[in-house]
Amino acid sequence: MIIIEETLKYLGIAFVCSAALIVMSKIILQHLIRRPADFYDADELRQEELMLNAGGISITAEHTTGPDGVITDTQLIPWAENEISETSRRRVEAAKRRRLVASRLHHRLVNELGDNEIPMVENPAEIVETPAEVEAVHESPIKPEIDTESIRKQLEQAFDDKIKTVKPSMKLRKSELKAIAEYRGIEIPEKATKQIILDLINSREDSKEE
Amino acid sequence: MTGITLEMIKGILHPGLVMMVGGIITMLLPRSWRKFMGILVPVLATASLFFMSENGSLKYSIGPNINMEFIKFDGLSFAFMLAFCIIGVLNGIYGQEVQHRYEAGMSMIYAGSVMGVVLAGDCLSLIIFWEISAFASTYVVYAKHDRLSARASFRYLLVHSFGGNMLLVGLLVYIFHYGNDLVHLGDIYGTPAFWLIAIGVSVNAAIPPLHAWLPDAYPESTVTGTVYLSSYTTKAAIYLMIRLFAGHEALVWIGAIVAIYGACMAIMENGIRRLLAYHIISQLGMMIAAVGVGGAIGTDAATAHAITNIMFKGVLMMGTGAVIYATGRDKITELGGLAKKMPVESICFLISSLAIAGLPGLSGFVSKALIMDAMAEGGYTIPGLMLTAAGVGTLLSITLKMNYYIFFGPCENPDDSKTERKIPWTMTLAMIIGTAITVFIGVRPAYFYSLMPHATIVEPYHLGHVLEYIAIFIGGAIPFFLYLKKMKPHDEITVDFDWFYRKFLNKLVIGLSKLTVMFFGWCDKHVGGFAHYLRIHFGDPYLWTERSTNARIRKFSFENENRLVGDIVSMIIFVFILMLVVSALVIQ
Repeated sequence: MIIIEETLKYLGIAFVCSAALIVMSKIILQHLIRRPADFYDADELRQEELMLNAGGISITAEHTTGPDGVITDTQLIPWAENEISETSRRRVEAAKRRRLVASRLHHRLVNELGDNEIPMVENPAEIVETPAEVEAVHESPIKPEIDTESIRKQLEQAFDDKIKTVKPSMKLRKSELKAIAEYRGIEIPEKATKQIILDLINSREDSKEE
Repeated sequence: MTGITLEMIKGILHPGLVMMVGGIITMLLPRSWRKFMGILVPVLATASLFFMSENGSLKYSIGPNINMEFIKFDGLSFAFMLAFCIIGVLNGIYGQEVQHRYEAGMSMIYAGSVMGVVLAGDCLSLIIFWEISAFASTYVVYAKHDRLSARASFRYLLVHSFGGNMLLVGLLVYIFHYGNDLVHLGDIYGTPAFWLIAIGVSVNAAIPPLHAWLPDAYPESTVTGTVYLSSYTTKAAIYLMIRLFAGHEALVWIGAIVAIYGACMAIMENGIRRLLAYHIISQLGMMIAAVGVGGAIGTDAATAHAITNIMFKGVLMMGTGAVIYATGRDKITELGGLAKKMPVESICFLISSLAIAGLPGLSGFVSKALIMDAMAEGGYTIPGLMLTAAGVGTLLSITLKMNYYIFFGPCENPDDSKTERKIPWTMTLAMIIGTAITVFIGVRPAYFYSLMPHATIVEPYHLGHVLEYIAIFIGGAIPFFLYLKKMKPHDEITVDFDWFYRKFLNKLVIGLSKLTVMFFGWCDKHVGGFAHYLRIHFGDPYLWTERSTNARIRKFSFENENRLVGDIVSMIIFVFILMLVVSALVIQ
């Protein structure tokens, strides 16, 4: 009889504890301390994304969002050159040169024409990338003769050389790792991550060592 | 003529040093040899453990009056060493196919250094092995070599540097008063050395609010690295707590609160390794409570639960590692119905999760019985109830939630049950052996109890006790199925005390840097104005004014230049503030 009483007591205690823990964790605490999965990295990832997408403009934007996710404020801030990719860096450098040209052109116009009312073009993209100008460049009979085919071939050759010689590591892009694996005759699952591809390559190397 | 005798060999066979030397050699060998060493070295360490005798010692003189005693062997250290050696062998088997060169070697060095802590016979040996374990484990956290693991390992290193320094200063103060021998460590309660050592050990024992490194770092390591990490650092801290703080009543309450805290956080988690990491904290709470009870039964209860925890938590970590290896995913919301794809691993995981919840017939029941008996003997009714509640939390978070949503429950999205890779047979084998040990301890409790330092014998399998645990299982499971919709995890994280140094201090540093920039900008502007004034009124000092008049306010902030700088500064400030607080406490 005592055993049954004790068992029922523990049944009740466990039921109450379980319900209390669920209410405390999943209903109360969860609302207080639950945050998006990228809570700690969100700012950083957003910065990186904006820097990469900045494309020729030497500033990036930091958005402040309201509780409903709508952007309430945008602050333009300078980017850090050392944190963007090589491609973006070149685009930014090109934009800087265009800005310099625009600035010189502005001063020349002011000096030669004596017209102080000529507005300074702040955005270099407007100088060369207006639709009309782009169209004019395309339709111009004097086009720079660039052998795109040979450049493409050179790039392909360089890529082939790279995948033949480079040591596979996590620093490489996923496409490069895939190419290396294919070159070495390793089958890669469709949704394989970089780590999985690298492991497969390494395991093949190890089996060769053996 | 002197020759090498058996006694001499016994003297120098330090299992920790065997592991550390083995780890260094492993890093130099080709992969086929590394695989072999992965098992051979832990087996040799285990063998050397059985070679050691009660009077075994390994002394090294580093000065006229300073001797280092690397080995002090007794029942407590034997029990912990046995568990460390066995899990070392299992980890060696588990990581056969997946460990890389440096990870394999550093894992062994890490395991060896923790063994060194357990066997240390004096303060200097203890602190040396303690620091080695901190640095080696940092590499194990970093072993995945990606951005997240790099940052997590950096935070881990800073927190453990803080803990290690506290312990170092505490031990130096102790050495100054009592000498290098550890025997008086139990007599220093209330002294500055006591509090410094307590903080140093608390960091490794993951007592809130010093626990945030654990769920932050463990999930970022490799699948094998996490198994190593979950087995050693925290358990070595429990070993030291048994040595230093056994019988301090406050620990009973601290342990009970920690157990509930860990269980609550585990219930909310979505990441499978983060969930288990929180659950380690909950289980550590139970051990700390047992340490607080003290005496023979308290010491044995804490030791027994640490050992069983090493085994079943090891298998659970191996199970989650197998899931991540096979699927490439580590969130419960992205997994489901995996029992069909990996049946053996699922069964091992299920058995270990039942063991951790204390199902009769498994190891968790045996060690928890000892803890509950210790609580009853000490007259701690409310902490005992809190530990029961934490046990129910274990049932909810691991036994029910993980098994239901990852392995055995219905799979709503077919993609969740997809696997990318076949699990190596060595991984499965390690899980099977670990599960077998868990079952063996469960069915042979008397043998297990006899390995404890005081060999306390209790009879866990009497009808009333068994029925109690079955009632706890049933009573705990009913609300889970009633609240099944609520229990479903969400793809989100829970903010913990690491928010303080990952967000608050970071923002503070950025804010201060912006403030500084504004101040310099203001100065710059007014210097420019002053130069302009000079040019108008005192001629045109071109060379030195032109730069100033054209000077623009440069906006600079850590956020834009390099966020890592912000992270570093905020962490250093965090450590500095902690040290200030500790110093203030100690001085008082």
